[in-house]
Amino acid sequence: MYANLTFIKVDVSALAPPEPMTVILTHLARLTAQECLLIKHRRQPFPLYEKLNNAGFSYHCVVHAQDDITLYVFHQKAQTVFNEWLVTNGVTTSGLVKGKS
Amino acid sequence: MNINGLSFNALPPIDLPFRFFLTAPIFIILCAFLILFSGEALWLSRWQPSMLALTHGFTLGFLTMVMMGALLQLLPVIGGVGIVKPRLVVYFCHSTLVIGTLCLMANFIWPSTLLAISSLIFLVCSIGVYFFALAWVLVKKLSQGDSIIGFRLAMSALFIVLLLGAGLLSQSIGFISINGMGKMLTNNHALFGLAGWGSLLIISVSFQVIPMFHVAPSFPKLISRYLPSSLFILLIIAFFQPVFVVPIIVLIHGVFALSLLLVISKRKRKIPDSTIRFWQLAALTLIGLNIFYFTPNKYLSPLVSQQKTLLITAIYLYFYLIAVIQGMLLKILPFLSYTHLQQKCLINFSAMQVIPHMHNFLNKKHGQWLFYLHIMTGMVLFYTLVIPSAYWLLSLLLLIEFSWLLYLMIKAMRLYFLTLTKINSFVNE
Repeated sequence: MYANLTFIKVDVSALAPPEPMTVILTHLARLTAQECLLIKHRRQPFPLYEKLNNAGFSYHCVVHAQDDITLYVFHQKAQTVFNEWLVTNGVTTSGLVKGKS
Repeated sequence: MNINGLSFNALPPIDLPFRFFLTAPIFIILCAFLILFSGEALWLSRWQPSMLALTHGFTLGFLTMVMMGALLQLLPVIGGVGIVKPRLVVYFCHSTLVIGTLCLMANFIWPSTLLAISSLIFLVCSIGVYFFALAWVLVKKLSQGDSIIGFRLAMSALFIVLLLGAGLLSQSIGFISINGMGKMLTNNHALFGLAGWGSLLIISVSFQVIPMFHVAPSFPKLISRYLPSSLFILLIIAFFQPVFVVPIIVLIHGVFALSLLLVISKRKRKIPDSTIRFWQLAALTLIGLNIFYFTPNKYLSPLVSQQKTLLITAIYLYFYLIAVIQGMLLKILPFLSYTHLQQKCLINFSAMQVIPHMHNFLNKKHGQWLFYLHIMTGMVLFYTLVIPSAYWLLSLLLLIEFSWLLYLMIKAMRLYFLTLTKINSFVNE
């Protein structure tokens, strides 16, 4: 893991709606600028994306398969640190959905 | 996934889909009164004017009404993009659909050129604008997911239903002539409406919502990839070869029902749930319909065999299409209310404490009552088709069932707005 960013892993892939959103929001409420929420989900939470941007968060989504995605959510001010981490760790950009304000 | 040139839309405001949902049961309540005042004559044949008014009350007033509202929410969730100017489109499509359906029902009972032209204009405008608003989104390469492909086919079926319906209505007022093709076009209008627009959309939605809401495995790839397109192709062929193709369409529904039961049986959390019961009822109905359809008439009582087509259509409509839609409403009403409120809390996370538990939006027991009411009403519908003197009981049960559904929806909506006020005051503090 990148030294300046702590990853908090959460797996919501076996939860029924709206529990995934509840779990994500509960973690986001505590997320600091030095932390990144790493979410394992079965589908992209599309309606959340725009709201995340408005609330000061950025996100990156890596689609592994139709029912297997990894979503990274972090404060917008941590964007540069996150980008460095992406380059350092060579996370594939194939199927990547990005969002920031 | 190609997302170039697209911006992610948040869910459309909750009052937009709820506008459709709240109107739908009112049409069935209206149908209940139609049954009551039409008496036994309504059940003589499918061509009775009151029967035509009744079927359009169910299909346009309830089914299409709910499905149009639900698609507005499903597209942003599944495809990631919503329609442009949702409020404008919804205000226009909803109001014209309501007026158009009322005019059409009235035109069947009291035929007049004014009512026929009004229903033609309002329904073509409503469904036409809705079709193009959604087509604008669906033609973009949102996703190659099987559900989105199914949505495209269902929307194409809706467009064909509209064309056929508009053609039949135009013919009734002498705008066009369709010499000797009236019955064939009517049959295809009904087939495309029920098995195309209705069933194709339900099948495509099930590929997403069953795994999502019930933490079940995905449908077998063979089913989710090929079943919707096969069904659509068969519906097209049915225009020319109905005798050979309709039995295959019936069989395909049986295959879907078996895969649906299989996926449901493999869900991870087997907690009692009225929505699952509605899905199971729908699947068992389709299997039962296969048996009934392929049973030779000589093994059926004359009373039943005389009304076989009407019985199959009524069971398909009530125990499959309407059952699934009611089940879905029980799931999405609390879910949408809760999700919309949750998203408001992103501005101030501490406001989450004022959101009630999801079950407060719709009590589980109340959902169960709706399920039992649906079973009772369906049984009485079956009985009334064979013994029409029971029409008053059917009317009464329809009135109770759909008033109950309307009450549940209003209750959920009321709690939503009460909580929203609390959240807003919390955020503004």
